[in-house]
Amino acid sequence: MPRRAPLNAGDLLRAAQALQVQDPAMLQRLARQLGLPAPPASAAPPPAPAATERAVPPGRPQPTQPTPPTRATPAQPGGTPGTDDTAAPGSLVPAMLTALPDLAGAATAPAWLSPGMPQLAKGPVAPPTPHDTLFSPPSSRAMGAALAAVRVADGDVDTDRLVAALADGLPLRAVPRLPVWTLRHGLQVLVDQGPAMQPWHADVDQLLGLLERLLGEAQLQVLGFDGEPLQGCRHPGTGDPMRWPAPPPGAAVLLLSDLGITRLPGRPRPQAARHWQGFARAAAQAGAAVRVLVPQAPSRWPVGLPVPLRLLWWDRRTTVAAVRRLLSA
Amino acid sequence: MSTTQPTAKPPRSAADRAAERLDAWARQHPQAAALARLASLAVRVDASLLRRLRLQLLPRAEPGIEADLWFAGLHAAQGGGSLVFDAAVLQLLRTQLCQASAAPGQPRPLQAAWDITRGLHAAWPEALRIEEEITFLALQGGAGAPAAMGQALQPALAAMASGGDARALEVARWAQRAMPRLPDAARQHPAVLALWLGALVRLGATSGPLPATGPAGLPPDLRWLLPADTGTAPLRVACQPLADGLRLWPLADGAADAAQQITLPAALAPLLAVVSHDGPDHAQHRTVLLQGDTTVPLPPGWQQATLHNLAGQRWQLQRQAGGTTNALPPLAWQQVRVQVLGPKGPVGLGCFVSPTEVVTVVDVLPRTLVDAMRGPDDRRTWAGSGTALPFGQPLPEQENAANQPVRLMLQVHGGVQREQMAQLAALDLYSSLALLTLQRPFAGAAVAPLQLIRPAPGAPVWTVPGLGGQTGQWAGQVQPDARLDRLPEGRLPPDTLAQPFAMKLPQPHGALAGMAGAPMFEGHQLVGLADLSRADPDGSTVWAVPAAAIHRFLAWARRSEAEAPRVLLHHPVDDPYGKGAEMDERAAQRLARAAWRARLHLMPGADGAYTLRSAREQGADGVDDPALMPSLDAAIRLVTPVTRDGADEPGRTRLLALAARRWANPGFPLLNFGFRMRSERQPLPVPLRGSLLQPIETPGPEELARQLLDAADPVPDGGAGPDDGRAVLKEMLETAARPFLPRTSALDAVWQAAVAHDLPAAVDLVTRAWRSSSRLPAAVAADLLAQAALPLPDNSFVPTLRGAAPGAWAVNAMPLQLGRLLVARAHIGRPAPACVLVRDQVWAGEASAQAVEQHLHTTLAAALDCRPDEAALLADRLALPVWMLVATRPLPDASTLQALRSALPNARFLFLAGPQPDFDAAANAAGITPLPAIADRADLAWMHGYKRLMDWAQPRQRASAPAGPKRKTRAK
Repeated sequence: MPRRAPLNAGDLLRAAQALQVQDPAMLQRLARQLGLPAPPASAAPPPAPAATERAVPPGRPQPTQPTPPTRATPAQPGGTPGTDDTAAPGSLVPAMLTALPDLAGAATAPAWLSPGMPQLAKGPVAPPTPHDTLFSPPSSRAMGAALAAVRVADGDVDTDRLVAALADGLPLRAVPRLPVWTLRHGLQVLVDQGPAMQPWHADVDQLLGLLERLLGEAQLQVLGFDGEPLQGCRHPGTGDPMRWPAPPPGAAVLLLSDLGITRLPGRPRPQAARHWQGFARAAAQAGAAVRVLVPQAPSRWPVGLPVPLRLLWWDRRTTVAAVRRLLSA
Repeated sequence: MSTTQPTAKPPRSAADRAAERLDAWARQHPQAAALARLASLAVRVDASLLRRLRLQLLPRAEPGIEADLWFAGLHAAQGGGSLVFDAAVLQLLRTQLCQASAAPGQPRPLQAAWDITRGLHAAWPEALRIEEEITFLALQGGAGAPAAMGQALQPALAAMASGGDARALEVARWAQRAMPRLPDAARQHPAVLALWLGALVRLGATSGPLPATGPAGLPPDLRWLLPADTGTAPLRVACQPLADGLRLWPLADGAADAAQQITLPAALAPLLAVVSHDGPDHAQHRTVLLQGDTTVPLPPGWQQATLHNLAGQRWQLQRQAGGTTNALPPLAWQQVRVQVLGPKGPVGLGCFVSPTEVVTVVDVLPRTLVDAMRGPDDRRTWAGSGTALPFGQPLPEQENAANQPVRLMLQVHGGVQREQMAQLAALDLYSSLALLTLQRPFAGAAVAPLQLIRPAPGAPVWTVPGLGGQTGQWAGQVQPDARLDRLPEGRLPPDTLAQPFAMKLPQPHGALAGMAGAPMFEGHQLVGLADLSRADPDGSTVWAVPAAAIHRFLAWARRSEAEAPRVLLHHPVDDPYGKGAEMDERAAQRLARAAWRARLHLMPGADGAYTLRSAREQGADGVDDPALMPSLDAAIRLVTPVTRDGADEPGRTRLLALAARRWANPGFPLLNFGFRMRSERQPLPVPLRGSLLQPIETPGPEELARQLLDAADPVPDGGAGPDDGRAVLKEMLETAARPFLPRTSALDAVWQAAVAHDLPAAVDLVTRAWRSSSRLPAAVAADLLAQAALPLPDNSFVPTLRGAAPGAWAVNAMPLQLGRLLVARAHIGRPAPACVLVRDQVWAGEASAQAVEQHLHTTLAAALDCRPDEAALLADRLALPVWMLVATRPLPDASTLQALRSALPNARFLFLAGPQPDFDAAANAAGITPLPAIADRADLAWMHGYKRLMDWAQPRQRASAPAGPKRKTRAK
């Protein structure tokens, strides 16, 4: 015995189309006859396409169009004074239909419809307004530099330590120098491209533009990821998947993510602490300092995140000095 | 179906649900809720607006509330960096915003939010800015608001009234989206109402919700805003006053006038205002959309009602003194029924289906007449004359016998009867129905409406009281149906709904003699015609041919030759010889007879059956081979031992033409008949492979005719359905995925992820839980799953693309595979149409059009395995309705699109152009319809998932065992 497929909604629609069923009650009845669950009363079938109707040739009797069945009008409770009590609801009553004078010309077109009056314009009429930044605009350049910079012992000679070493009679293997902030090692930016970052697309673009102006194209590496960088990154231009490449020696890593704080409908909230453990370890092994820009307030940040991740609030209340303090700690 | 005006507010349940959802969310996110209220003035809420509203009006709030709002699930649509609030939520947010602004001692957030929204959206299209301005004015209220709203809408009204048809349509589409979203206070403004009604008239009255017209009802005259009457026939509407209502129904073309009727311009929407006056100071306004039989409720004591439409026409209905007329006067079945007379008196019955037509059953007609009309059985008698057969007429040799008159006895009135002659006009191929035509119209004929749904088992039906009865009715009951037979593939046979039903009568069996052709009624509607030719199942049970069969029969029998489907007979033979030639010709003649019986227009090759010049030569000579006519409805291939349509034989071009049609339109009907053949001798082009050869020798003439008619006259496509084909898609996916499911429930989670447009998540589940196979490719299931997860925000593209006329559409995505599956998804339930993929197209004038056309030729040549010049010829002559999917950036301009459409007039273009600024505006400017916007990067995420899915779907290579004997190790 060949296995037979059951009837489906398509069969019902084809049947309704062939029979020109327009009434929901009739559609339900038809569905029952085909052994299908009855559709809701509001689900009326689409009207028959005009193209399938064929004209009647001249000289032949016109085809009779089937009239839909008369539906019983619901009875109105009670009645108003003067109502004919003998008239049952739904019964025919005598009445005279007369045509009244046409209102043609009574309602004239408004004056503003005359030629030359303004009409609805098409398309945009002015350049779009720029997007307000998350960081304070006056300090955004300094903020970009602070986020990209790393602290290296490459400044002036640290005379205090030098004198102390010489006084203690210790051998001088290297000249001690004071730490300074530098951008010369470049920056790797990892952009969370998960759906939770949708509201921040413009901010991400703005920040990347700022960093590119600060560092130059050669010193900036931008990669996308969804979930966590070790699960795979994406080339920003082509979208091709790739493994997370360790940043160049000395370069910092800037992570733009909400760390799963945003609750997406239908998705469980990730366990952020465990989620980021692997990446934090890999970054530490690569010697990269990871700083994370999070748009949500610190009160909402997940607890127990791995220590190598330095979290920064992406907001106007965050100052350059605060960033420097945090990163130099 | 009828519609009266909806209530002004959304359905309570929807509003309640929205309120509950909003309250619950606002309790958890109070700051985000405040931001949502401030943003509720905007038509589309974008990230920039949320940012500025937060920074300026909620300066202490943290940025995260923007994301909280973004993902709150309060939107109806999201994409392109913006979201649109759900309508019910929007109303609540606006109400709360007004309440917050009205609180004493508080700053006015409404005005502040409006200042920011207006400033940020100053660059937006004027239509959207007007919508936002009207929203603000309506919420702000005040004495000057109505005038300001009218002022704001003037440009839109002016564009609709005098901006030209194309511009008016654009404005109408915008108005239809925008007007229902406006606050309640704005929706009953006269200018809003006028714009809304104008949009409904232009786009079709069922294209959107009807406006709530408020206490003033429909405007009395909007003629200045409406499109010009296109000269189509006016719509006649019958009016039947009831004690508590007014019944209205449109009269069909050609139907007799009703006792009371009004005439409406057909070009305008059938919108009608009914104002009832049940007292001197009390009037009720109702807006009616006429779409069939409609009953407008009126107060029980109504005395007077007026009707008017948007064009200023008015009528008055004045109730007359006197009691009621009968609610349902008994049907004058004596005027419906006809007695068919034989040599010795009445032999059966029939009923009028028009003043000149009577339908009955063949049993009541003389046998010689029926045989002459059907023609001889051509399996035994060969009468191959080679002359054309007369369409819808008896064969010449049977003409005299078939034209003998049939005597009918008709009821005039008052019991007076009159005899009249009729002629047999048609015999049904599916039932025992016969159509008689009277020599002149019968004025006393009454026509009962057909009830197209078969009566339910147990339903009370009645019939006329036998041959001799003139009064009363015979009541009966419908018997339970036999189980419906299904075709092997599980579908219903084409004429299932016309299968006869049985009616049980209390009368003794002997009283039923002469009841053949008796009409059967349910109430006042004709449900069938008694058919005594079937075996009597039980005593006094009568079988009936249902009204659906009568309806189909009449439509078929009334068809003229010009309207008949055109069917090609493809049968090339170049070297007839001996007995084989005679049998070959006989098979072709059988098909010609079958087409005559089925009332089809059969077209053999233009140059006869035996030679075929090249199509190019024919075109040059002005000779049209029917195989190359674009307006071909179906084709028949006759394959005999002498058929020649191989690689180098004369029929090759015609065969390729059929294959090209099948490729471009997989639903193109093609019947293959074989004469002493069981399989094809030559391999066919790919699109034609797999079709079976049906024997031409064995089926009877009527059966052969039915096969042709079923193929050439298919049931029209019913559309994807109320859910835009989602149910069908799920069914197909269940079937295709069954071999790979560890258990049936494994599909559920995947389906949920797919319909949430999250293909990567669905693929994760598939690769983790589903079985892969070393033999079965799962590409079909993978394609269906990817269709279910298309990243478009809604399914509105399905009715747009399904059965679309030639035109151009665009989507802001780039992957061609996405476009291909989008087209397939739109045609769900049918074979997917052919898609020609054009990658990375750039536009450089007409050369671009030629390049795209070249793609079609190349793809067609590959599909048919023919030469490119043959493919070019076929594409040129057949005007193939293919889908051209063009990956491009940017979109073509209007002139380039014109060049493309000139080159491929029947093609449907889908441009996959990726995200671009002002995508919709650019598409509209070029005359391209933009599809719903895909969220930023969603297409890439989908494509990534699709690649993974297709990797999984490939059959796995089984790991081969190492060569050599197995080594056994002895346990120590």
